[in-house]
Amino acid sequence: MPTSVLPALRLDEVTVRFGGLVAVDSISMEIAPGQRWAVIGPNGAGKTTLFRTVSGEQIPTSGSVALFDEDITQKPPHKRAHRGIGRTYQITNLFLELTVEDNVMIAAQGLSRSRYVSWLPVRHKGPFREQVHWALEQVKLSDKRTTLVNEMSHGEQRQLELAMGLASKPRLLLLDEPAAGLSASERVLMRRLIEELPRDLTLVLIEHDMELALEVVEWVLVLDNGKMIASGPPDEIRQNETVHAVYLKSD
Amino acid sequence: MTLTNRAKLAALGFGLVAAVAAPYAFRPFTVSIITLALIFGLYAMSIDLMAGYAGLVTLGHAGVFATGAYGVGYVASRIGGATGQQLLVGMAAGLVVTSIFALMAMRVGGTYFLMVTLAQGMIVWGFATRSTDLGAENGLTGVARPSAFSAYWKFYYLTLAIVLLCSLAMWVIVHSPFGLSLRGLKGSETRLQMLGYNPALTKFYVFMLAGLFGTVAGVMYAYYNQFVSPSNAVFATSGKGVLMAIMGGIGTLIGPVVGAFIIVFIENVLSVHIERWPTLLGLLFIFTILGARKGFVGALSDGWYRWVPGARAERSTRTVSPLDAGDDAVAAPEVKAN
Repeated sequence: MPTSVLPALRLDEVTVRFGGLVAVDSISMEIAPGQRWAVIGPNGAGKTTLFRTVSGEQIPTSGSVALFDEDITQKPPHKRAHRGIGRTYQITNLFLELTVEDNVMIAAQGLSRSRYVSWLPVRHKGPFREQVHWALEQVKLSDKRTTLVNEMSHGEQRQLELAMGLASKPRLLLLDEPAAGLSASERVLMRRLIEELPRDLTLVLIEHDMELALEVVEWVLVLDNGKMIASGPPDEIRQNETVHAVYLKSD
Repeated sequence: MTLTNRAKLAALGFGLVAAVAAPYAFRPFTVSIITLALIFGLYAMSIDLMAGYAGLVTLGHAGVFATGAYGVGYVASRIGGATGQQLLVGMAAGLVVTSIFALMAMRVGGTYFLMVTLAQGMIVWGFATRSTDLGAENGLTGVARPSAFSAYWKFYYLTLAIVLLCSLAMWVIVHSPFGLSLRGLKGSETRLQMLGYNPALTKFYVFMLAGLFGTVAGVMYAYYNQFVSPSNAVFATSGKGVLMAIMGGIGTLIGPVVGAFIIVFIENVLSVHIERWPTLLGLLFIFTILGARKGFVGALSDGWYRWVPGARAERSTRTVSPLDAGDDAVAAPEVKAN
């Protein structure tokens, strides 16, 4: 999507190879601040690999990644987090033995120097306490603060994933299949939660379910076998015959 | 105050009173064994800081423990330095070796961490057995306790004070923001890194803290035994510390102390009456793993919540968050929702 302002995220000819397999093939994209994008495609299309090049868990074989015009291609994930990238995981990746609020507290204090403070109690950190409350309110989990994560339902864990992504107040949030494994009613709630996210937050969503993805974003990138096969607004993508063919093939 | 907290406070008070009264109630041999259990309790707690809280199980912590002991032993028996010099060299040697080990281990995890730390302990053991300056296999003798604490009961109180001080410091650490991030490291290193934490730095920091307390235990052990030998660095000593932590209750601070008391008493008291005491120790460990995976303290805690009605009710009705205490205001931070 062409932008006139400084892009929040810019990928330039990003390619990821695993031996002879090209998982992501020369992908370029430019996302303006506050925009909501979806990256869709069938299984094995390269969506998660592309995500990992943005989050820093995968360094691209070639090409570059820039966040607000700063080249972050070689930066590790924790340095990217400090520059404003947050992400959630397709397979729930939480601290299962801790309570909900402790999970979000770890996220909230993650960008502060005080994360290495070992001589003060954690709960005396006022600003983080507000962030924890705020993030849990955003995902409707305020009443579950003292619940152990391993005692929560899968749907609630997905909500907590979202809170973890929000708690550090990122500028760019990557949501990796937020509705994976959810029931119909839970998907409705997740869709509402995503729609209610702060509007100044730049969002990139991976979703296998095309319909859910198209309902909550403004621009869609469609991948197949690591290649971009279509890019455009949701309505345009809905009418795109190539996209339909890819999804019919995968079904 | 909840019933559970009152019970914890009462147990702590009872423990402190019993600890202070021990020299008056027991004969010197028993007090000496309690002193040894306290030193190993501190050693096991330092292992638990890594293994129980951060999920970094070390198999070479005896290397750090022994380095502190050898530092004291070397100055005492080879140079004839004063107590201050012994302590300085013992602590410095332990921390220097810890920092080198931490740099070696900070970028690995899981099985690789086990292997690296196992090798580290073996390096110290190998060095100690070969170095003639350190007495090789004969070790270093003539390590005298500080004159003010030479009497068995005075040394006991010194040990008790140091162990309590170190326990308090570790309690503060595990309840701090860094302590919370350690538990995050144990839960998921990839997630922790994505939240802005440098896992290697976190591992280095906790390794240094564990090394600090492990060195203190080693220094105290040198004075306790008045003799330092390569057996202090051998793998069995590392394994024993892990065993103490697991048997008592890994991931709790009191658990490793309880585990240390159990193992030290089996080794030193029951061994007089039972010839096959290592078999007993082995069986006890197997039963702990099979029947009480959270260790003695974990089993006690589960039993408390299961069998005490008041405590059970507390657990099931705990809905108010500690975060709520004193402030109910929920302010939206800088990111605003439309």
